[in-house]
Amino acid sequence: MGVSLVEALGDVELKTGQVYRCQVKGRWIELRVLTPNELQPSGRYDESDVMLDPWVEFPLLASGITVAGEFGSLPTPDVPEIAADEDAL
Amino acid sequence: MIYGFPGKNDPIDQADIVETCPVLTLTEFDLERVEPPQIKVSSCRVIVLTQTCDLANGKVSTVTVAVVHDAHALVEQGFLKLADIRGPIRSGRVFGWYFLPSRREFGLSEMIVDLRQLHSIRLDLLTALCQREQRLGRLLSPDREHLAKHFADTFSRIGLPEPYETES
Repeated sequence: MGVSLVEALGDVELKTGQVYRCQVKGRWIELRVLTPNELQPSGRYDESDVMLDPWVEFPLLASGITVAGEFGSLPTPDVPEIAADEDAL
Repeated sequence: MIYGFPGKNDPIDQADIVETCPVLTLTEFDLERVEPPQIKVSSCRVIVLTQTCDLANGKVSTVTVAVVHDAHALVEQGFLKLADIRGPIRSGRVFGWYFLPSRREFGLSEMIVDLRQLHSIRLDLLTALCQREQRLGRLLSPDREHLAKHFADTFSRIGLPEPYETES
């Protein structure tokens, strides 16, 4: 069963401001313990949470045929089904 | 499974992807109404946005659709970078654009739904296109609802003139 990083580090004695390096399963890991003056993880600006507005207009449909239209009236709208109001009964 | 593949006689539903749908663009308009308006008719891929309940209850005669672009064509034309697609667009972080993954075995390339290019299409026309096997597939739940939520968010968001200031 896997454990989370928080669970794994919970039993490790870590000193503030220290940098630790170790090898785990063939990979080198570096761990730095922040001081209180440094940015706290909870206050970090996470760019992946930011929604963006489109920065370009996609092309309108390039191909097609052009025809002459004619002026007219709109077709009748789809009338929504309105439930009877009990107060009006 | 992200996509389903309804039969050609199945009714239109939200998130159906339909090929060769004619959409109209008004290209010239004489305000004096002396000359007739010029209308371009283009054949394109669209996705249905009208709510399933409205379609199922037969309450609508027209359907709201959004134009669907081939993602890599947009890259080739210089509108987007591949990193844009792999990053913020794929993760749904750009209002108005919705990424659809490829399923090459079904002829579906990576696509981007442009929720800012909307059209109203007659339901009977879309139905006829489906009967001619122009329906490429249908986005299934929960992806369909995810698209619908992104559509709603795009048009319900309220932007502030300036971001709020902080003290530090």
